[in-house]
Amino acid sequence: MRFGIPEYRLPRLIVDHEIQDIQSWGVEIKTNIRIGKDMPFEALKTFQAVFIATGAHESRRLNVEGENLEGVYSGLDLLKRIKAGEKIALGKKISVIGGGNVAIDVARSALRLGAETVEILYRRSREEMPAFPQEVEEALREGVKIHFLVSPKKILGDGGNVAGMECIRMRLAEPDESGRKKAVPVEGSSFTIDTESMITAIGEASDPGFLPDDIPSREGLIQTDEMGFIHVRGYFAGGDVATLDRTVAVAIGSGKKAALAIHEYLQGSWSTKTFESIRVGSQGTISAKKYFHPPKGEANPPVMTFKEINTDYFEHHGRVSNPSLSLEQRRGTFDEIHLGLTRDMVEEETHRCFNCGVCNQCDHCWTFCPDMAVKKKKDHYEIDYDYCKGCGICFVECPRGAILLEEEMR
Amino acid sequence: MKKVIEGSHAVSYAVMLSRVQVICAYPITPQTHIVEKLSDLCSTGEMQAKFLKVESEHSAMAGCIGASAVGTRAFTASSSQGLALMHELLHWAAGARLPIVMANVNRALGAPWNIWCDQTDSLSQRDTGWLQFYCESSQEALDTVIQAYKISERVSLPSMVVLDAFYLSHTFEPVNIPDRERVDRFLPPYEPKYRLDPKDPRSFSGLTPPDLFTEMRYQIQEAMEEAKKVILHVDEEFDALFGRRYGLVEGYRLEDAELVLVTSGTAASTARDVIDQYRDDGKPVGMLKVRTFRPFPSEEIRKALKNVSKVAVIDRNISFGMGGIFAEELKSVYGNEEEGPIIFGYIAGLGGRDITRETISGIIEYTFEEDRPKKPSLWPDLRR
Amino acid sequence: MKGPRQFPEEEYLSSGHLACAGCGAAIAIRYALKALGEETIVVIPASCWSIVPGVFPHTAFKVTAYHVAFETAASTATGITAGLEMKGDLGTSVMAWAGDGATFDIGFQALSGAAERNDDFIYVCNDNEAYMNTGTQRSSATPYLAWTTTTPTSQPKMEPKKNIMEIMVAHQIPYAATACVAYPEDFYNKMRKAKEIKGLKFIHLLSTCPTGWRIPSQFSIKVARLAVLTRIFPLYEVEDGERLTINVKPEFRPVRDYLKMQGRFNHLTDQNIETIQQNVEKTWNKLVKRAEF
Repeated sequence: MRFGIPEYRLPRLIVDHEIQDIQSWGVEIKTNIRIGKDMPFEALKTFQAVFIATGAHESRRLNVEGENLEGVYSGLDLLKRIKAGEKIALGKKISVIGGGNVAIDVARSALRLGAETVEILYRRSREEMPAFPQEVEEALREGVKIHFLVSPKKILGDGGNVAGMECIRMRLAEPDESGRKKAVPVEGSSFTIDTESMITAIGEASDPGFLPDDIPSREGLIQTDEMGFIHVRGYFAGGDVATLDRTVAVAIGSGKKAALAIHEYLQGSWSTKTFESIRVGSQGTISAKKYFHPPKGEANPPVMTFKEINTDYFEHHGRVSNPSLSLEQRRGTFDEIHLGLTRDMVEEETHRCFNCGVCNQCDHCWTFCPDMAVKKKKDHYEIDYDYCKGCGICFVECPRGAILLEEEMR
Repeated sequence: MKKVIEGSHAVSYAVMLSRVQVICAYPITPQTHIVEKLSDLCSTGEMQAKFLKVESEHSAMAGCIGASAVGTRAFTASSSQGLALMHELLHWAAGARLPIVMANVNRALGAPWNIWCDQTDSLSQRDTGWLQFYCESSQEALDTVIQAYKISERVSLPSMVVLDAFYLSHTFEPVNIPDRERVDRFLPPYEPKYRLDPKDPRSFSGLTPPDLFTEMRYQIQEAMEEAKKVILHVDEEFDALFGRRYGLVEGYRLEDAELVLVTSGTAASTARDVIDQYRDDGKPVGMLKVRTFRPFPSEEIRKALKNVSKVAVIDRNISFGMGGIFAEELKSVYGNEEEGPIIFGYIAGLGGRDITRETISGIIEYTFEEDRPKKPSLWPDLRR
Repeated sequence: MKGPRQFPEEEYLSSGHLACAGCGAAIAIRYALKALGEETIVVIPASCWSIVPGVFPHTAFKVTAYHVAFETAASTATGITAGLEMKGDLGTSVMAWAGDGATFDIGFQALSGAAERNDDFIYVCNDNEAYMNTGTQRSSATPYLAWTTTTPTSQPKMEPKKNIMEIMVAHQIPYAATACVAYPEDFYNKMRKAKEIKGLKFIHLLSTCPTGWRIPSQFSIKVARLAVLTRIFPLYEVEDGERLTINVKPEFRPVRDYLKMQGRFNHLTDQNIETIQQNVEKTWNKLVKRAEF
């Protein structure tokens, strides 16, 4: 997050604050130590548990002729340097190869550095682009051009510097092992474009070289179970080094799960059953809250979905939109785009909360019972089953789905 | 106070004297004069009552049911089509045990239209549970209305006081209109045991299962039986205060009669005259006027007609497919008996055709001549 | 999102009554009685409510209830009010609680008579749009194209629903209003208002019958609400035959949303629905114009 995500998306200051917080809890941070180089992996044996989250910082190479010319950059590298404060002259007309978030980040950063024309070349179509759709939207708004179904064949040089590219058009064929449609070159469709800089952002790889033999990795990814346990001594892993699902949210989530797993491991009572019992919702999400505060009573209470909300009782109220800098305001600066919600906005947004699944004593169930079988108590309701006919009106008219209607028997 | 008044007005004065509190009024010839007079009396304040100008006889009876259920004295008047229209509610009022009093002016039922005297309308209602009194004179009409409230309120069944169309409703007679104070002594205010009272919430006339319905109907039949005694009792009380009494039946010159005319309404008046004539000629004839049709005074009739060999019933009505209704009910009195008079049933006077002295004489002659009636119903005034 | 409703807690109807599961009328009558209180006489003609309170000697009513013949709700109420007046009782409320059959059809004469005389009682027509107690036969309150046992899908009801409100308003009674079981506060307030007015007060209440409308009982309120939200059943009041106030002005919502939830409208074609939509819009626009006038 410190280096891979541009300042206009995630300011350094925010990351610094987060890190300071963590330090304030008594976590010791030791920097400038490369495991496998400055310190052998075996030295980690002194720790009862180790969590490996070394990320994926190696850029994949294009493997085309001319990749070593001046003016060819690796996307991740470039982002690191920009974030470190380096002023890099990319030129007026640049191109970016790739379709992921890094490619988009690079393109938008290039605009801010002064490039007039920024073109992304992506070998598949828009539907297959792995970048976040909102990011693609913003890039297009800011003026980035995206060419779909195009791939570079050769990088052309002029006196050791990048001058242009020979590209070829692609078409989509049947899906490959990743499930995405394979991009296949169209014979005889080559064309040339000019460019002053070319940045590759076709994927990141992790470097598993530092791992000992007994920690398995496959194509650079450390193999773990769902909780991040490698099942070799006390070793755990998460984040980009352990998955191809490379987003901040997934990384943080893997950290949480690994923390729970480590905690469990350190108790000496490792069991997958523990983690089964702390799942919530229909997707089986792991709940840290449930881990530390096992609920008395129902282990997995139903989670109300939007379907159970009776929207008749709520006024349509759109989400508060996160205000952001205008296009003019973004030009030439790496200031954070999203300005954040004001206190008023936050309050307005919280008013939209349905309070789903939780009774707030609105009395609707009592109001609409044809048989007066819903009894009002001091702070809750009770159903008198001698008189309830099971019509289900209370169930439907509860605005927040706090009532369950279940079949008793058939 | 004696006054020459129309028969219909006699009824109106009786309603006023009975301190009726709610009147439901709907016009139909020949009853209209009753409600018009009542409208007058209410508007001048002589009578303190709600005068509801309802939009049909059906609503008139419904209005009476509502008012009576609340515990007030209710009255309406009708005739013929109007009475027939409220038929379902006549059953309802009796089933609900409400002491409503209604004056019915006997008029023929269409089709075709006919506005004149005919008893079929009231007699068609004989199964409804209403008491029925057939009046011969304006005085009797007045007195019977007042008595009816007392009787009905005692037995908790409604009463129909019946007058002949035009012969009684529209003729003028001297009538003794009792004074208020005396009527008040005779007829106390209506105090029902059960009434619509929010301070004592109850549900009335709800769905009743087979388990309980028979008993409720039995209670009504018992009340009807009881009514015979009550009618006589009230008659006595009335006599004590006003010097007039009427009974369930009235015999006229029945001593040693061999032939008795049985009739009702104004025909009885004409009959009296004819009887006198025959008696003057030494013929042993008499008349039995049936005043109370419901409850049917079987015992009184049997007693009166003991030793009578022939009975001629004059029915100003007909139950098609059977015969004259008074005749048929009379015959049923002797149903299981071995001995009884030979009963001749005569249909006469339908739709306002006069029952003249000649008609009656003809009937008597025929009855004398024939040993037995040739047919169950005879039509002496039929024109060929 | 509004706060909890403020209704008096006392109930005047007991649990254990015989209404079908999800009966809209059972919900509505709770609020009618809450509005009127203990000093009430309810007049009930032949209808589900002759049966729902239970079989003699039981009753679910905690107020005085008088069961009467089919077409006599209004005429009996007329007599009751007259009797109460003669007894000097001006405090007791009289409420006729009659179905659409008893109101639009067989009891119409009596209602018109009572309205013309301006007799003092509240007449609530509990309209579930058919003779439901006898098993769903059509009445003149049955909507256009609805299925009933006497208007089968091969020959659905071709006549429009009789506009009872317009008819009652034409009598120039002091108060006429529509109400819907899905809007209990509105109904409650209208009943409270009616209680204080002298003369004939008419409330046309739309009441769901899950059994006859062929909907699952749990959607009883939801469907009733949609009737108002799609403008098929507008909520409005008319005072003294003149001043019209619309109580709920919903944004446009297609009638299809309401119709497609009900089995009794299952057979409707898109063309049918379009016709109904147009009729609803025409009627609504007329109503809005009258309200402004």
